[in-house]
Amino acid sequence: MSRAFIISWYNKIPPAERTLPIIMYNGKVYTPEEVYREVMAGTRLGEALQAKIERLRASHSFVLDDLKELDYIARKRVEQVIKNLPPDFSLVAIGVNGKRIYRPEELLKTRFFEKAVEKEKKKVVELLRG
Amino acid sequence: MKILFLESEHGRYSELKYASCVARMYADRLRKKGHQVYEISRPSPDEANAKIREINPDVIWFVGHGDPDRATLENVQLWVKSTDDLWQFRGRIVVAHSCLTGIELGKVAVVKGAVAYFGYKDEMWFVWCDESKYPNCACSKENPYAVRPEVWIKLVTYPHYPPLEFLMAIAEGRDFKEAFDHSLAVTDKLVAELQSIRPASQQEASMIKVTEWALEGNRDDQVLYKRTAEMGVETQQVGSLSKALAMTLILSLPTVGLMFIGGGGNAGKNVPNI
Repeated sequence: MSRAFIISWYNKIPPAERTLPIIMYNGKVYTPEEVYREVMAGTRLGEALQAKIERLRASHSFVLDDLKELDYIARKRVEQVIKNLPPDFSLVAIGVNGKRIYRPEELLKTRFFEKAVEKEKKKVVELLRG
Repeated sequence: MKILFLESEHGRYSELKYASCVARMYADRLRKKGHQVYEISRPSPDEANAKIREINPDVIWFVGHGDPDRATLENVQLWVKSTDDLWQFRGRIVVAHSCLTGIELGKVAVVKGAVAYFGYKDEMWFVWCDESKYPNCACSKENPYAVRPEVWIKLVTYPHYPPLEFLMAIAEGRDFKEAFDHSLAVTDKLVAELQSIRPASQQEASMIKVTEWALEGNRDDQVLYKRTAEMGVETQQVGSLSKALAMTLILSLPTVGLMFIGGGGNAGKNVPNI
């Protein structure tokens, strides 16, 4: 395994995506920044993260456990983004009935959240594959 | 073409003006292209109906709160109370900047004589400021979140572009399918533009991301019903497979899969084979 691979992979990731979870290992999620740091430091964790990223970059590489992790990672990404919104930020949906102005914490219980999770699953795969 | 814009501003708050102020920009562009454009600001249902009778427009654009079978205008006053009588839309192209009317109202409108109906089959999302505290956010660079002005104007206006781009494409002479595909392509372009922004802060990054999700979610829910030569109804939409089916397909496809073509449409979406 070469560090050059991770450097090249990391450089292709848009800056805004580098602090969002992208990979899971031993029950913990890691961001591209954390992966980069561990690999550059030459740690065992860095080696393991790089090996997993290299495996998942191949076509048809996601087994069932990877898909479950992908769902978890996507949820964590969406939760982190929503958590970082200003508290008085709002999204609006213009239906006749019901609540239609959503504060960040309320978004977590909406279909908007679930749709965002689906988008982020796709995004994670794209980012892993560079 | 005679194009009527019903520009509501106040719903429960002043959330509707976020779409109307973008519509006004498009109205000016359409006028410059030689179309007869009429705008009613903050229309009551009676005012809207009177104007429709008076000018007999080819196209109606409206913004208002919606349900599968109802639509409202200023102050959430019911304009279309049910699908029993949809005379307002007969013989016209309708662009509904409204939640949920793409489920039923649009389809019935075309069955009852509308030429075409562009709408949303789920909630249509966009960014908003609490107008009681921040009255100048819509179509403005001003915002209370310390987002850079040139970024904020994109966040607050982009979710309203796609239906208006559909309208613009129709006014330029494109057919319905081309216009629908154009609105999808514009959405993808807007998302790509947002993704290319280097955020100045964590908050700004999150607000950009949420706006991307709004645009992408709205794109997946936009739908077009149009009248066919056989007097039937044809649907154009970005289809979506069930998660289980999609996962089965993704796992079993030997190459990158062309995921779906919704209704009579051709909006193919590449999905990585994971």
